[in-house]
Amino acid sequence: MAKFLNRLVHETLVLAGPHPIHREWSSRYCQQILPGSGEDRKPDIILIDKGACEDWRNVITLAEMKGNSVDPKSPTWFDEVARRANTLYASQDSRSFVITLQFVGDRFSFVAVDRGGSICLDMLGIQEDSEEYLRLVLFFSLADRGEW
Amino acid sequence: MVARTNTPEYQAQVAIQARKLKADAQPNGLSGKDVFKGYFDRPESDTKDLTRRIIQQMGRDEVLFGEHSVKVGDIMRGFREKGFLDKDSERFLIHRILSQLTLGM
Repeated sequence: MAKFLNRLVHETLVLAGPHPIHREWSSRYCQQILPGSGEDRKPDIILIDKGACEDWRNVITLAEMKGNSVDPKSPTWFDEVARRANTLYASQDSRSFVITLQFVGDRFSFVAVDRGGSICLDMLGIQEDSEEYLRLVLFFSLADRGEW
Repeated sequence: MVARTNTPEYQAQVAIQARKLKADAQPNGLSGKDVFKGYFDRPESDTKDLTRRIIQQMGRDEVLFGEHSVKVGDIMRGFREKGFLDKDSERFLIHRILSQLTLGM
């Protein structure tokens, strides 16, 4: 999936031309603990600036992946998403909010978490809402952090 | 630095933001206490539409591509021409995602 996300951005830039922001999705730590945090967590996919060390302190956002059997409205799923956001907070002192991406089967959504609470959006279909999917992936991959 | 959230100024800002979000999320045609049921009581089609609108606002063309005159609509058109959105094509991007989801990451 990380390869696919990188490919999606690459193919976009083939059509759009050069872009000043270079980030990379990586799933290297989906089976091993990502360093840089006191908590032992294995994030499915992380987004970091290209060339940056893969470490919780450099993570821009996360993408979590689950199969179709997961209910994205269940407290268990939210708890898992919130824990990941909390790990980011704990490892980045200047962080005031976290937006993470979720894939459940062929659906996607995102959650925005700040220190006051969270906003969970509805799931959309990758096929039915392909433009929204592309916009969301490009937002994470190409938008200036000042726009977040 | 850790943001101080227990100040009256911060809490007032949070309340203002929450009111704005609620105003956007409230269903039309309801009155009285029904309007306070809020986002999660909306029909599923409405919450999906709200999600689409938020993503379109977050991922506006100028946010993604700055001053360049590139538009996501043009990218989608380009993808379509390359066969990435053609379900019968081997290059179908969505097919690739689903294959990778099945095979793992």
